[in-house]
This record gives sequence, C-alpha cells and structure tokens, in this order.
Amino acid sequence: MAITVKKVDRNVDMTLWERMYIPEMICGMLITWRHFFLNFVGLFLEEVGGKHYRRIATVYYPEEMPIVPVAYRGRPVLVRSKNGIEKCVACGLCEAACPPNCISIIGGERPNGDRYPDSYVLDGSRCIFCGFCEEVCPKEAIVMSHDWKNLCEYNRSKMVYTKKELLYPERNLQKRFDVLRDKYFSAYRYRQSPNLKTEPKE
Amino acid sequence: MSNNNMITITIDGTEVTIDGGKKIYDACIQAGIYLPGLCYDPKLTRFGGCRMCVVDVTSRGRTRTKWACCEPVKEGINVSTNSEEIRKKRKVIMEFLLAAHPLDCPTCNASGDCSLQDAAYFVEQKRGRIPIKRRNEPLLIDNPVIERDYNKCIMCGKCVSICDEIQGNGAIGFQKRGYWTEVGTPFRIPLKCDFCGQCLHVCPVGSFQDHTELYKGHAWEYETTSTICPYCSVGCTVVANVKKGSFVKITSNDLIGVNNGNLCAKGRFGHDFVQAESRLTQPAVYKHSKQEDCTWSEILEITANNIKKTIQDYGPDSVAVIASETMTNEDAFTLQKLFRSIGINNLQTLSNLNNPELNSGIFEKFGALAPLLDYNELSSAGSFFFFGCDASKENPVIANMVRVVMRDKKIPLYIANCRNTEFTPHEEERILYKYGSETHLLAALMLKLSVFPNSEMVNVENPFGSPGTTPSMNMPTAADISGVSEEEIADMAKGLSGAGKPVIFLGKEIHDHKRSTDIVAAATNLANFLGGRVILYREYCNSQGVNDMGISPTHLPNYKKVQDVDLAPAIDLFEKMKLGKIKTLVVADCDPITHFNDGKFVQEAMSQTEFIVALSSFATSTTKLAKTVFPLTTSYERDGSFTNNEGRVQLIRKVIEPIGSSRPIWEIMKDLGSNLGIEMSYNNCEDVANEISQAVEAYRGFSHKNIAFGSQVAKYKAMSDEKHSLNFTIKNVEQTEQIDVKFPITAIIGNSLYHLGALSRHSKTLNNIEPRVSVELGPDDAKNLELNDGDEVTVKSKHGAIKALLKVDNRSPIGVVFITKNFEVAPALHLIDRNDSVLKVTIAKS
Repeated sequence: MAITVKKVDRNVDMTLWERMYIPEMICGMLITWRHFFLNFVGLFLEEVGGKHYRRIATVYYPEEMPIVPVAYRGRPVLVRSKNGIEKCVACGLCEAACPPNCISIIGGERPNGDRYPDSYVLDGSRCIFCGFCEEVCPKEAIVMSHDWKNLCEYNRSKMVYTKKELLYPERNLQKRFDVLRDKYFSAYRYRQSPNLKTEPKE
Repeated sequence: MSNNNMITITIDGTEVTIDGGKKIYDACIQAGIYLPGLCYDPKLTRFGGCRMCVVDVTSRGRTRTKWACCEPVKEGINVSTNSEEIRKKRKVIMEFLLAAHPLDCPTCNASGDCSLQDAAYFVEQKRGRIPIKRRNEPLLIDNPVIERDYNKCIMCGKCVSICDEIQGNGAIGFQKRGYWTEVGTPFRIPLKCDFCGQCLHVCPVGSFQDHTELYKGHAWEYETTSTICPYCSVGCTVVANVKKGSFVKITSNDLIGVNNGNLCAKGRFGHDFVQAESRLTQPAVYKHSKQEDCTWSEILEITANNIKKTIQDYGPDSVAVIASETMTNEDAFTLQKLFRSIGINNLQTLSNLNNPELNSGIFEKFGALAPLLDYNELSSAGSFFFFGCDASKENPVIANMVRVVMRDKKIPLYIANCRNTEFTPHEEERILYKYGSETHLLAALMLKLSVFPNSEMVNVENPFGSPGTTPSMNMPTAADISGVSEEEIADMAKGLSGAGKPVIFLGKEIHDHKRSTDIVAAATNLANFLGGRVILYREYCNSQGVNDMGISPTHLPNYKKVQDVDLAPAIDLFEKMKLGKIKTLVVADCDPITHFNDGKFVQEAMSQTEFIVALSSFATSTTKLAKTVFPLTTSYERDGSFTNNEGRVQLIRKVIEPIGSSRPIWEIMKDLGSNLGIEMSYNNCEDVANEISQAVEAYRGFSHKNIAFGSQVAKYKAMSDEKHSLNFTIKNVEQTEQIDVKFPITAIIGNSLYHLGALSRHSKTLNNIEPRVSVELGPDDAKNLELNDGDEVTVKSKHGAIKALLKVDNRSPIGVVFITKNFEVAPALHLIDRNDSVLKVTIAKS
C-alpha cells in the first residue's frame, strides 16, 4: 500500500494584533485575574453573610465538606432498626447479586426462629459501589450510605468490614430510603395495596 | 403387584416401552420428560395430592385428563404432556397452590432445593390472581432437630407416608379439616419420634426444616460430596454439604448408595463432632508430669524410640496394639503391615477381645455360610426372622429396607427376643425367651421343623452339632429352659417353614453374647434347612474391613492363618497388662475404658503399662493415660474406604480440610515406619488401596478409581465353597453361673438409637436428643420397686454402680432391663464382671 502523506501547515499565519504579543498576553491575564477576583470577593461576601457567589466546583477539603446528592452511592451499610438489631435476614440475595463477590454471609437463627446474619463480611477493597445489593435487598437491610470518608487505607486488611463496622442507624438513612422507594418501587406500588394486607387466622 | 409384561405407550410423539406395573409418571421419567410432581416419590405409595402432574391421556379415541403419578400405563395409550390445555390447567393449579403458600423464598431454608419453586418456574407462574392469605402460624421448634412451619405446607403427604411406611413411626398425620388442615402431631403435642429426619428429606417445600442447619446458607452455596456414614455397619451414603470450608449439614440422595436415601438420626444429625471443641488438634507428649503440645517430628521420634527400646529389652510380645473398628481399610492395612514387619503380632480389636472366634475366624468356621448378605437379596426373601435383634433401634436403615419389602411383597415377620422389641408393621409371631437360652430355642425350632418335612432339609445329616450334646435335648427341656411354651415354638416353626427362605437377622445381643459363635452356627443351620440366609450385624462402620485387613493376632489379611499362634490364648490381653507383661500399648482410635467390658479393670490394667501411645480424634479416658497422643482426622476429613455388612467396599471422600494438624492413621504409620527403619512408599491413600488389592484376595481389582462413585462387593474366597451343616453346642449360659439372690434383674446392655461408639457423644445435637444414660424397665417391675418414669435411679451390680435415668416402657418384660452404653460419664459396661456371662443388677432410687 502506498503511503499517502497529508501536509499540515504548521506555520500558522498570525494577524498583526497577535504578532504584537503584548495585548494578547494582557487578554489572557485578564481571564486569570477575573477568576481570582471573583473567588476572592465571593469568599469575602460569604463570610459577611452575603449571597454565595462562587461558581466553581473546587471544595476546600478538609476544611470544607462537599454536599453529596441524595442518589450518591457511598459505602454500603447494614441498617440497624430501632430495636437495635439488624434488619438483614441473611437471605443471601446480595451475595448472589454482587458482581465482584465482595459479600459473604453466614446465617444464623434466633431463638424465635427468625433468621439473622451470624457473620456479614463486606470486602471494601473489592466493592465497586454498583448498588446492586441495595437494589436486590427485599428488606431494605443493605443500602448505599452517603458515607464516603475514610474509605481508603494503606492496608487492604483494614478495608474488610465486619457486621459490627457495617451497622448504621436507620434514622440517618431516611432520605436514602425515599430515593430507593421512588426509584425501584415508584411510590404508588409501594403503598400497601389491599392484596398485600395480612389477615390473621380465623 | 407388578406384572412383567412390557407395554409400549406414546408420550408426546415418542414411543416408550415400560414395565406393565408402572405409572405414566415413571414412563415420563424414562422418556426424559419433566413433569412437575410435588407429591410423587418412587419409594412411597401413590397419593395423588398435588395434581401438578396432569396429562391428557387418549385411549380408544377418547381424551381425558389424568394424574400421571396415579394412572397405570396401558397398551397403546397416547399421552400428551405439553398441550395448550394442559399448560393452562397446570398454571391454574399452581395459582391455587401459591394462594396458600407464602412467597418467603429469600428467607426460606428450602429455597434453591424446592420442588414448588422449580415447578413454579416451569409453568411460568408469578403472583396469581387470587389474593394470598397468610396463616401466620408460628414456627414450631419443640425438639432439637426438626422445625415445622405450617404456613409453607402444600399437603403433598410425602412426610406422612414416609414416616408411616418406611420409618414405621407414624408420628405425624393430617390434622384438622379443610383450609386449616395441617401435617403434625395430634393436638400439637411435641414431636416424639426417632428424629430420623426422613420428613425433611422428602418435604418438597420448607415446611420441615433442619434446625441444626441454623440458616447458615442456601442450597446453591453448598458444595456437596457423597461419602459414607461413620456410625454403624450398614454403610449408608451421606451427602455432606459444606459452605466455605465449614461443615453445615448432611442430606441424602435417593440414587446413590445402598440406603435409597434413607438415613437415621445419627447419620443425618450426628455430624457436628467434626467441628466439636473436644477435637484434638496438636500432637502431645507427656513430659514434666503433664501432656504438652509438641511437633510431629518430636512425637514420632519419641514413639519410635520407645517401641524400638521395648522390643530390644523385652521382646516383641511386650508390645500390643488395640485398634478400633471405625478406621478405614487403608489405615488398618498400614497399621498391621507396620507392626507385623517389626515382629509384633498382638493386634486386637475390642470386638475380637470380647469374642475371638466370631469375628476373625468367621470364614474359617462358616465358609460359604458366613453371615454376609447383599441387601438386594432381601427382596427375594420369603420371611424375615429377627433373632435377638432390635433392628429399628440398632440398624434403623436395615429396618427401613425390611419395611419396604414387607410393604411391597406382603412378607411375614417373626421375632424372637428376650425383650418386647418394637417393630412396625407388626410381626406374625413373637417368642419371648429367657436371655441365655438362645441355642436351646434354635435347636427346639429345628427339632420341630423336622416334623414339617421340607425337601431342602433332607441333605442335612447332623443338625444338632456334636453328638455328645444331642441326648439331653428334647422339646420339654428346651421349652422349660427358654421359658417359651411348646405351642409357641410349634407355631413359629410352622410359620417359618410355610413362608420359605427366611432371612435371619442376628443383632447386637447375639454379637455380644458369650456363646455367640454357637448361636450364629445354630441360626445358620436353621436358615440353611429352610434355604434362607443369616445376617449378623457388626457394630461399627468398618468392622468387616478391619477384620479383612487382618487386625487379629490369629489371622493375616484375607484370613490367612498366622503360624505358631494359639487360636484361643490362655490369658487375655488385659490380664497380661495387669501382670505388667505389656510394656508398650498402642491404642488406635478407640477407648477401651469406656467401650470394653469391665472398664475399671481395663483402666487398672492400662495404668500398669509403662508407655501408652494413643491415636485419637477426641480427648478420651485413654488419652489421659497416654504418654504420646496423636491427633487423628475423622472420616469426613480424609479419603479411604469402608467395608460394610454385606462386604461392600465403599469410598469415603474428603469433605473438609483436616482440623488443626490432625492426620490420618496411614500417614502416621508411614512416618513412624521411616523412624523405625521400615520404608513404606505411599504418596497418597490410593497407593495403599492399590497395595490392598494386591495383598488381599477378596479385594482384587479394588482401587479408588474403580469405585469412584459406586461400590464394589468384596469377593471372599470362602463364599464359593459348598454349604454344609455347622457344629454347635447347646448350652444355657445360666447353667454354669450361680445366680446371686441379691441381684435379681437381668440387664442387657446395648446401643441406643442415638449413640454409637466414640463419635456420637461428641455431637452436640445427639447429646441434646439423648443427654444421658437411661434404663428401660417394665411397668410391672417398676410397680414392685415403687419407681416412676423419669426417676433418678442407681443401677448396682456386684461389680459397680452407675446413676441413670429410668424409663418405664413395655419393651422390657419382667426381670429384664435394658441399659444404654457409650456414655463415658456413666459407663454401663463397667457393671460387667469379665467372668460372668449374664449381667445381674438391682435398681433403686437414688
């Protein structure tokens, strides 16, 4: 095959204005200075209680914390209900659904016959934050929290979370539940339909 | 029931030729067509409860909807299983089933192993039109092993059938009527049964659940391995379920093994000894006046040096080996090979110590009449005769096989026992004899039988054994000594000869009897007259194999006689030990102090021994006395093979990794051998098996590869010899004994349903079911002694006393009690005096 060569003209002809160099340089510096000024004034205005003026994404972490949206998928947590025990019933669906196989459960039985996870281990170093576990859970027992801090470690063994580390109080997760119910059950189906009502015996 | 005409029918266009007695469902299975049958089980009678197997049957031009599981095949019928109409019907039936079944699949134990789930997926039925009514019954946990959930029950009736037909318990049935029907006990009293767990094996949904599983996981998470149960000598195949390296539960498979999916409580629930806390995990050496953990090389060196030194100083006769009957063939073979090659011939098992002639010399004495029988031959029997055998308690799975044959072929059952043992369905005739008079009774039966001529009896010339004993034998004396009336013996003899080809089962009472060899010979003669067979039940999982491998001072592997050895040594091993003649004792995987007669004497004798080497999986009374303790793997952590009652060699498979640093015996023997200067070049267990197939003639062709998932029956040479009548001596054991007036009650010691050998006591579940030693006393005796059911009693013999729990039931007649053994806390065997044949006790409230 014959090699075809396309010639590119690298010597772009500059206009006189450009060739003068100084005005263009001043234009560029003006952009830089404008950003500097707006940030500076914005910070100052916020301090004195004025309107938040900044339009940039940079957050002054760790002095300033980002506000994550409600649908943000942070560290998966096990929901601890009001009576102090986990909602999880060790059905193993999250274990089956997990793409990187990071969850492993060994079930147990309470004296009244209820199931509970005797051990629930989530390997945070494997987790890909896909949220499948949360989607598949029939009991809303595992959800992706807004917890994004301290997820990185120097040692991988510290990233394997046990049940004790994963438990998270239910009251802090209400917003997330609302999002989930909207997303997966689309509100109207989640309302208790007469068909789903339980009827006691006789 | 079945006629052997082969019938050709058409199922969905394919032609199937099938036996005439079968149903359409069987034909569908043969044709490879899946039909959702929730209440169908080939080993049970047809129930037709779930209606899921509806098919269209066209015969003589008319099409009708039938249930495939109940409709017999007829010549020329055309079956359609997948028409539009049938699919619709199935879907509607499934809709009704699901209306009363809670869809709790994620939290249900049966999920993944649920026929209803499979069927629902098959008919593609999701939530139906009918609103689901939940019954909201609580989960019933009224026993240690079986949970019941009335909500999930779909009324297939399989559990009721199996409990009634195969297990003979009839513990559960249909209660109440209509929508509120439930499968359970009457008036919801707590479940009292054998706890065999057959109901949870057959339950298609999660209505019966294994309480020991404790929701540890789901069916799809378990790795399953089929292996052999380590308890009794039946040799059932169990399927071990393992999740992430930890043992979860045992299930059974109807298609593999001799047991057809049946298991008993020990086999199904008694597996938690594997991960028990009492397991030994590190080798230990006695130094600084206590046992201390050490390394493998250290313990091997110490043991080898000691054995060498003992042989040098006192000669090879000062070393003895006691081996258990629960070790594998490979273990037994390497053990005897090592010790025989350093000149030690004193290899014993506890059973051989008790009864030297019966176990090891069985082929020499009995030849072709050796009490081994293929389980398949049970179905061709004419009648069953339980002689001194409590089958439903000793070998529950054999009892299951007998029940199936009795159900299918309407075969009569005869029982002769010194106790009123229970067996459902009921026997035709029963004889209740006095313990010790077994030979008299058998001789009397034979005497009566010669009145009823039978063509096969003519060839036998010498029915009553050695001539010297014949004159004293006549019917009135026999009846008098055995405590059975002549009419009863006559009835029994008439029944036995009329039914033809009896299979005589000899149980634990006969096996432990002082005169067992005579009784087995007499029973064999009786069976031989009638053209039947005898089965003698050995106690442990590899009793047969250990003897085949030559763990006996008189016989080498394959029952070759050892030269220059007395068959009946004048002085037995423990007496020798007591005299200090045994310097080093190797105890492999057993505990003579708990599991041998007169345990106190054994303990004293063993403490006279200078150096005890204990190989054990658990801490026992023997390991406390030992100078070196080797931790052993249990049968679930290793490969190997067991030989069962029929002489069938079956493979055991490694299910989990060995606990701690425990090792199997063959590995220890190999390393001990290299320390003693004897090289055994085995790389794995299979190499040992290959050597066995070379050395033992009966096991020719035996290799782990050959019997990977099946089994192989050992071909004993003696089995092909001609049949002849056996000599036996008629003698009542009580004639030679002086009965002490102080101890009026005869005690029989045996295994209970839930405990056998050393393993079961380390299983938490079995201990929950039966926590302590019990004494079964008849109601009349209890009234005389002013005792009630559940009392704490002290059982005293002239030799010792144990505390026990009293159970009053009809099984024990007047003057007889039954005491369970295997409890190291209150060992019943400590009551026995080694010189007496019959154990006499008193019972008093403590």
